[in-house]
Amino acid sequence: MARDTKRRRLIRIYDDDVQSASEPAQEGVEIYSIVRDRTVVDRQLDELRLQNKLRMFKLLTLQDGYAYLPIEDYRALIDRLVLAQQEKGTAEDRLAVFQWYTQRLLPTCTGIDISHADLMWHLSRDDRGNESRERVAEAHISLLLHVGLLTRHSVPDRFLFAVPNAGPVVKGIIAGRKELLGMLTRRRHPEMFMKELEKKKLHSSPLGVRWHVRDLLGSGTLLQTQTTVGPLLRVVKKP
Amino acid sequence: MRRSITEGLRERQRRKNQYFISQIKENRVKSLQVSSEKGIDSAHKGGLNSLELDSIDHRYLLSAATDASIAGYDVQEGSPQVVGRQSRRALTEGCSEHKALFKVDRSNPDCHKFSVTTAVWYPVDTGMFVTGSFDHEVKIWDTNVLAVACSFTLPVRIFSLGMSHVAAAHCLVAVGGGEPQVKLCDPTSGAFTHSLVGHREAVWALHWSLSSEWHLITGSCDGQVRLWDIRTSGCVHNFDQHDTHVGLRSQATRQYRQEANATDRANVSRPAQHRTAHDGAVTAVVPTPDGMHCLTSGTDSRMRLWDLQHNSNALVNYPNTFNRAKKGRQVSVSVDANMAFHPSGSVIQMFNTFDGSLHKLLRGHMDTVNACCYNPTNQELYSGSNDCQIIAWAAPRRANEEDDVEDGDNEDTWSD
Repeated sequence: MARDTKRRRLIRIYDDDVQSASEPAQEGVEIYSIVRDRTVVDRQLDELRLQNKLRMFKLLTLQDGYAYLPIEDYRALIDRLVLAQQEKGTAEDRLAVFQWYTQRLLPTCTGIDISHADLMWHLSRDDRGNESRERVAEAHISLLLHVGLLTRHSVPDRFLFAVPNAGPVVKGIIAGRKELLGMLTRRRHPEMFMKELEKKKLHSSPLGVRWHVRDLLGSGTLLQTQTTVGPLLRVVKKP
Repeated sequence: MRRSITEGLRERQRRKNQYFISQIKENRVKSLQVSSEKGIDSAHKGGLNSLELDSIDHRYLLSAATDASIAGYDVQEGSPQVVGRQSRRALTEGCSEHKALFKVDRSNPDCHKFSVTTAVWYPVDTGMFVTGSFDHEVKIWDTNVLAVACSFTLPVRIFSLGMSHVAAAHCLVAVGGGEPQVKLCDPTSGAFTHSLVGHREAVWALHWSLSSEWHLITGSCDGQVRLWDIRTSGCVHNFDQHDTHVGLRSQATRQYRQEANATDRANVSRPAQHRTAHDGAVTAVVPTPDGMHCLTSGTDSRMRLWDLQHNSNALVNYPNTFNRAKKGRQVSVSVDANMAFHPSGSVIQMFNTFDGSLHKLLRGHMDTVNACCYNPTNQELYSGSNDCQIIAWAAPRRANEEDDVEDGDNEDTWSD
């Protein structure tokens, strides 16, 4: 029972953040700033991943960075992709691959990557586990790669699951972190009140100051201390 | 079979006693601080690379340093104080100074040429120890005469070596160096018995399993942690960070995965050579003393706990384990209070091994800490760092008595 309420709380945190940040992709470190016990966070996230309620993506440009996306959002994203492809006039038989991807592949494959052979096998399998009538061709897989649902890996013959158009967001995250840290370290004492900081605007990131403060708190770069006039944020010195 | 009442009572008393003892031990571990009673007088002029305590009576500490020197200390009895000579430390009553019992340095004709990376005791008795160094040599020393009994030359620098503490059928020395192969040296024949092939980069950390004498765990710069059985060819398991704990999964997850017909392990199809345990080089591998779990730490600033029963990631998150090591580093585990000691920069972090919460930071060193070694007999920790010092950490001895006295004082002042 306790576990269930905790899980629900986690999901709700996700939803809140999704709306406030107006951006579906969430980073693992973000939640660490909200829930204190990191081991619990890791284990709950892993369970949600295994139940296919969250998708986990490796972000290659962020070191040790993983993004989590609720499965509904990922499905919605794919629906939008299908519409875009229909407008472009892609052949119907090739568009079927999106349906196979959401219905056949995603429920069973909850890891971060997949091999070429597994991909073919899962896409061509119907609900009962039998080989379906339609043939999966290389053209289908190249369509998935083209729209950005899969990306290539440093390992040959394996594909990473990916979020299409995640590039600008990741770029924003990196630039925003840098800008916010720069803002703090340029001061005489590298610290600032939360209220003061929330009034500032970030030029380089679309995600807003609050998101980045949470991000940096979670990764341990900032430290929050309570004072009589509100929370104070301080940059942590590396040991 | 019925037991008599007296027997039952005695059993209950014994259990109570054991619980009491374990409580005292736990409290002692949790209150570690720089020891005010013990000072270890480091004999080295270079940074410490490794520390090891002998496994028989936990008394002799072996240290290896970057100035190519090796030294041994007695951590239980202090050295006799010379009358009439001023000691370097101002000693107060009840303190002991531990000077090196022996030292191997440049004056010894057999000594290593470059930095000594690891020194380990022969697990059976302290008459022998093994050292490995950047000068490509593994040397086996006779402690009593401080001369080399046997040596092995490898084509590369040596980062780590180890001997099995539970072995009865062999006394092999496993050596990890700048090459991907792990070599096994046999001191009885003076030759290499075999090499374990599988890693793709230098091996910085290795440790023999504590549950089986044939198992070896190694960690390399390509982020892989492998478990070997030396009787079979190839490795037994290659640990994967995304292969998560099966035993801890909830009922809902299990049910979902059964219904969806998903494979039990999310990535069982991932071929062994593409699995990684860390996103950077692995700098430390240490099994817990019961042999059921294993801790690894890597330059991706992560420490991970592995379940050796399922060979899976136990998903314990240790926060802020900063690590930018350029060679292997020692991590230490204590069973008395389930604590793991992780050197992070110049501080040592004390984590609860199974829930990952930070208990305490041990501050005292002035430079990067490379080695730490736990003493289960008297619940002490020894740490060595690049500032050439060895610090002994212990529980304050008279803490309880002092507390009592303070309480008494307070009562007096209030009653006035």
